[in-house]
This record gives sequence, C-alpha cells and structure tokens, in this order.
Amino acid sequence: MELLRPLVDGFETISITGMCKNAGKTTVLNTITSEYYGRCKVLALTSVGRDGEALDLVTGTYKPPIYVEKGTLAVTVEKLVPFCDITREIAEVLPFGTPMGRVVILRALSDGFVQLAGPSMTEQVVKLKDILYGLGAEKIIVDGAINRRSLCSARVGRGTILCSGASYDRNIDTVVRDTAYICSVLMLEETEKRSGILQALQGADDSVKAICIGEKTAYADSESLIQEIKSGEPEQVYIRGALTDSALKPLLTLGRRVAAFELVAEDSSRILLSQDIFRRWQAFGGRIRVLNRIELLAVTSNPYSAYGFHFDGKVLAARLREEIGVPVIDVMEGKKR
Amino acid sequence: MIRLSAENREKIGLEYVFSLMHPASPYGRAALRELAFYEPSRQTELEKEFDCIAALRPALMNGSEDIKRLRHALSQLRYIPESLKKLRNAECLETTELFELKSLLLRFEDIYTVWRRLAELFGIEGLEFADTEAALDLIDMDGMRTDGFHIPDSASAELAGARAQKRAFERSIAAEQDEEAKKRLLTERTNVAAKEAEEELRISRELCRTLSRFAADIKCNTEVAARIDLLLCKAELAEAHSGVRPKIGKTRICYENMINPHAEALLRQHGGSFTPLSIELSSGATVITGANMGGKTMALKTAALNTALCQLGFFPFAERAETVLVDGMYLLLDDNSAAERGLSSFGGEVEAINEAVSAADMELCFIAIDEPARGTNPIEGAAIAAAVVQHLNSQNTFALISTHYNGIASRAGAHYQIAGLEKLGIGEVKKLSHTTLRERVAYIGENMDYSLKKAEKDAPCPHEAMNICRMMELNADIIDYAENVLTKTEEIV
Repeated sequence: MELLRPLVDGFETISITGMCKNAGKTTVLNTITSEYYGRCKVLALTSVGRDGEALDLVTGTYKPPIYVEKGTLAVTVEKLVPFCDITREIAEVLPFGTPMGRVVILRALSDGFVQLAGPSMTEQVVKLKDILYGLGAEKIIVDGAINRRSLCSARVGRGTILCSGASYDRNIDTVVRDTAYICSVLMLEETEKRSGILQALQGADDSVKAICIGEKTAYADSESLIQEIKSGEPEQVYIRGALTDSALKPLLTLGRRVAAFELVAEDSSRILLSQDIFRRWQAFGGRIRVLNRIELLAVTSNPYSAYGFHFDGKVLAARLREEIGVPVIDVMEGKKR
Repeated sequence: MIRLSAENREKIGLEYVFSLMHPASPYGRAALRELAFYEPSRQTELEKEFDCIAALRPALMNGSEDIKRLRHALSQLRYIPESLKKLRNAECLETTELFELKSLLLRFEDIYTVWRRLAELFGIEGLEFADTEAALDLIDMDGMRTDGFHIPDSASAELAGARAQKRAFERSIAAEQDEEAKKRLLTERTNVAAKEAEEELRISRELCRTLSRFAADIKCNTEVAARIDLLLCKAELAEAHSGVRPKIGKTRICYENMINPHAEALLRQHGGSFTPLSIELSSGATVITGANMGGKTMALKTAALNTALCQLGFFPFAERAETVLVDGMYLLLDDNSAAERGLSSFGGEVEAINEAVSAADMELCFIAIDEPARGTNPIEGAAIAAAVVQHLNSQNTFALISTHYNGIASRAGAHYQIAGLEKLGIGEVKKLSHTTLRERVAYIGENMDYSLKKAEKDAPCPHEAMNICRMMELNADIIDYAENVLTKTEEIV
C-alpha cells in the first residue's frame, strides 16, 4: 500500500523535518523513494546533514541506508562518494565547502545505496535546487537534520513531512503534546493581506525588527512598537526574523488589545515560541499568521526509540490522530527492527 | 627586482586600478594576485604584451560576440591546480577531480576555437594553446562530450561483467517481496558492487597514467588562459580610462596629461575633476615645488602609478607616455610606518632614503620622495633635502622629489611648480566668510590650479602658505602676527 506518494505527489519540493534525532526521517525518505520506484520520475535527494550512513555518527545508533533507483540525483560530499555503491556519473561539483569536502551531485546509473550530505545554509539549498532542476530533477526531497525546524523554511520546500516518535521523549504524553504544538505552528494560516507587507519590506533596512502595516512604520525596539500599537491601532504587525519568546513577551502587556491586529511572521520556521507564550497569546485572542505558508503534508509516528524503549505503535498513532488535523502515518508498521 | 609594499600600492592608487579589473577566470584572478613587474631584460616580452593590448582594444570596442563568448568560457574554467600537480606526478585522481578535469578540457575546446578566430582577426601573436583534444578523448570515454564524468561499461570487459551482474541483482531485489530473501540479495549485490568499484579504480589509475603526459600542456594552457583573461582586463582599462601605449626608451620618463584614476574617482564623488599633469624626468633628480594643498604629493603618486603600470604591462593613463624600464622602485610617500621598526618618523625617513640611495648606486631606479626632511628643523632640513637632491642628480637614476624648501631645485636637473593660487590676488582673499570647513576647502579647490608647470631651476618656492591660512580663515590675530614676523624676517634677511 502506498503511504506517502499520494500526499507528496503534487509538490515539487518536499522537506522532511524531525522532532528530534532518530525520529525516522530516513525511513520516510526511503518510503518515498520506494513508492516512486519504476515510475520514471527523476527524484533528487539531498540532506542538510550527513545521512544514509549505517551508524549515526553522533549517537552511535542504527540508521537505515538510503536505496535509490537508477536515474536519481543524489547530493553528497567528496569524502562520501566512495561509500555510495551506485554506478554513478559525477554530474556536478559545487563550490560549497563542508568539512568532508565539496558538495557533489551524483547521477545514479544503477540502483544502489547512497549517503546523502548537502549544504545546510538556506541560500545554498536554494541555489542547489536550481542546479538540480537544471540537471533534470522533477521532485526534490530535502532531508532535514537534528531538530532543525528552520530547514522547513518555505524557501526550501513548500511541502513538509514532520517526523515524530518515541525518540523524542520517554513519556508518550510529552511526545503527543509537543508534536501537536509543532503541527499547530506549521499549520498557521497564511495572511490574507500579503501585499502591504511585501511592499513595506522592500524599503526596510536591516535594523527594522517590526513593521506596523497601515501606518507603514518601522520599529527597532519593542517599546516604541507597543506605543504605536496603542495609539495607531494597526491591522497587521509584521515581525522580521525569528519570532521568539523575548520578542513576544513585552507585547503581552497589551492584554486584550492584541486581538485587534494580526501578528505576521515570514513562515512557520521563524516561529520559535514556547508553547506557554504561544497559548497565552492565543488566550488574549491574539492571531499569528505567516507570510508564506508551508504545507504540512503528514506526520509520521515512529514508536521505536533509538534509546532502547518503544511505545505501542497503534496507540501512539491513534493519540497523535486525535490531536492533529493531517494524516498520521506509522512508517514502521510491518517492518522489523 | 621591483617590489612595492601593499601600503605603497594602496597609496599611489595601484590597488584601486587592480580593483577595477574583473578577470573572468579563476586563473586570471590568481594571476592578478601574483602580478610581477617586467625586468628590463624582458623588454621584448613587454612590447609583445603591449602589442596584444593594442590589438584587443578594437575587439572590445566593437563589442564582439566572440569576446563575450571567450569571457563566458573563461568564467566556466574550473580551478584545479592541485589536481594538475597530482596528474603531473602520475598520481590517481578522484572521480570528482576527473569530472573537473574533463570540464576544464571541454571548456578549453570552446576557448581554442574562439581565440583562434580572434587572434587571426586582430593579428594577435604569441598566445597559442597546446592542443589537448587527445586528452579530452581519453577522459570522455564514451565520446559524448557531456558535462558529467563516468566510466562507461565499454571501459573494460570486467567492468561490463560486474555491472551486468549487479543489474541482475537489482532487478531481483525490486521484484522480491520477501524481506529476508531481499536482504540476502542485497548482500550479494554489495559483493558485486565491491568488484565494480575495484575495477573502476584500476581503470581510473590507468587513465591518469596516460593523461599524465598531457599534464604539462594543460597547465600551460591554464597560464595562457590567465594571460588572455588579464589582457582583456588591461585593454578594457585602457579603453575606460584613456590609456596609451607607452614608448620604452632609455633616457626619459615622460607623461603628457597623465591622470590617477583613484584620485579622479574620489574627486568625482565630490563633484570635482582631476587636473591632468604633464612631467618629464631625465636621468638625475627632478624637483616639484608648490603651494600647500596644491597637489605635489598627488603629482608624485600619479607619476609613480603610471611608471609602475608601464612596467606591469599596462597602458599608463596619459595622452602620451614614454618610460624607461628600471630595476627598482622606491617610493617614500611619508614616514612609511617607521614606528613599527622602533624609529621616529625622521629616523624612519633617513633609513628609507638610505635604502633608496644605496639601491640607486647599484642599479637603475625610479625614486619618488615626498618632502624629504620635512619633519626636522628648517635649516638642517633644507640642507639635508638639498644634499639628497644633489646626490641623486649625479646618479643614473630617475628621482622625483617634492619640497617646500627654497634653494633645492637649483641642485636638480629640472624643476616643476604647481601653478597654485597664481590667479588669486591677496586682497580678494581677505573678504572671505565661509562657515564650514567644507566650504573653505571647496573655495581653495576652485582657486587652485593643480597643473604642473616647468619652472626655472632657481625660481623661488611660491610662498602661498599665508594665503592658504587666510582661505582657511585662521584666527585674524595669528595672521597679523605672522605677517609681522614675516616682514621682520625679510628685514633681517
């Protein structure tokens, strides 16, 4: 049965994001590649960290290798090329340096195993995507690294899959609660009034941290921003860069006034709020929107922990389904560890 | 050998000129960083360089398609000096290195064709590429001339066999439903893959051994590419800043209406313009005198810049230029970081003058000294400056010295003066009431004639310091006192 292909088929770029290390991102990647096997679609695979090695270099835990079909474009680094056992063409060597050499794009001339490793800076990933399309890629899958939610930035991939599982925490309640929270952030709605923000952003210099739309006034500190919200009653407040607790806390002193405007961030990856602050904002009637929406396609649940314990897969999936409004998939179902 | 410190390159505006150059290829960029002066013994080569610049100028002006194509191909060259070194030693390259080498050879094919056409059209000689198509044929094993690099099945029967076996396993793996059976197949496939990798390595080794005999040619071609790249930049510079081909002679360094692009750019930012300067240096010493703020230092820098440019194989920025190839260049443009060497600025200056003077004893030099001995008392200072000029004037050297002191120029071979505030009467100066420094400086700029004029050797230094003080609106009491002192001094003298 196909689990993921129907969900990802409509997206040119998909990012795979993990709640933690060993959440099963590579399993998700392998599931997608196997579901596309024989469908004559040129997949391009890259990772924002090293991926595909049999043992995780950081925690020493087992990691599944990545098996690709002939024709796939795989992004790796110079020192890992010999560990890819596909018959291969070197399609490109990029000047992006990593501790393990420059970034290399391989074209698989046979099926086989690859070790993925690619650039992690958003700018470089964006550039890499262009090169991959130039080499004939039809679908690009970006495997995220340890808990780097920032890599599901809308500029990297419009569709994302969030991987959660027992490796996140020993307590199933914590796993479910935190996964549900991250999903609610990833599923924040796109603002309906984008044009005013885009216009205001064009003229803003780097010191500008927040912009009140309507007045088109820019702020570098929260105090004057609070004053402006009180007196100017803006419709939207756009926060540039990361939306953090320390940025939002001062605004909570506005109390119910926060319900009067929309707080907008660039995309979900910029929202780094703790659940507590996020809920307090919502309790005052505050709305948070994004300028560019990322589509959360599915949540995968992995009941096996890399640290030697596991949950009942059916229970975990069921509890996540209760909380989350997108498909929850147990990719380990039917697979032995 | 000529060596200019980074500080001096910066001061005379040479670094600025380099910053105007944008070589397309990484080889051109590397060559620009390591640019060396032409020694007098390499005059023939330097003339050839000038021939090429002169020949490329019309090509640039016509906006030739071929130039664009050439630059594009140059920009695509991969920078692989390390791989080329390995290849020369017949070491085995990694597949990624072979990819880059193939890419380099492919781009060279484009460059050869375009360059041959351009060279023929514009009569450019002496810049030929070695033919490396045979090397490309070796590395492009299936002859498809695609950008990627791979070792095709046809490379050896063993490789073809291993790959066929591997493919068979892959087909079985794809069809196998049972996980355990799949695992077994995967293990067997891994063994065949190892055999494939081994054979690929053997083929790569053999390939690199064969390719190694082309290593020298390929390296030479990267050097030719770098030269062409820089020539295009030099021709472009000459075009943009009205460079001229210099005549290389033995007896004089002479510029007619020379400019300094760095100073020109800075002046333009403030709405000003650079006054072209003309000067002729014969063997010996030439002295420049003139008002403060009149541009003596700039004249020195501009002459030094253009002389350096000539000897680096650039067209100098002047309407006409003649130069002499020298063995050394010594530029003393201020105290030259004396403090770093534990010397006072005067001590540092003496040390630097000594260095230049000793060099001038041994070889043909270009020496520029900005106001020698200015930092000490005027009586001894004037004596030292006069002596330096007198000594250098007796040497076979080209020395350009600026000074405030009287009675120095008469000891030089030639004397130039900055025209200065000639056109301004003193009465006019008194009525000033500018409010800002900027206005005052601008006013001086408007009235200052920065051009260089040949003067009699015994012509006195123009005494314009008082005028400058008035224009800078120095405290009126001080000006009065100073005038008083001056009158008395004149009485005494």
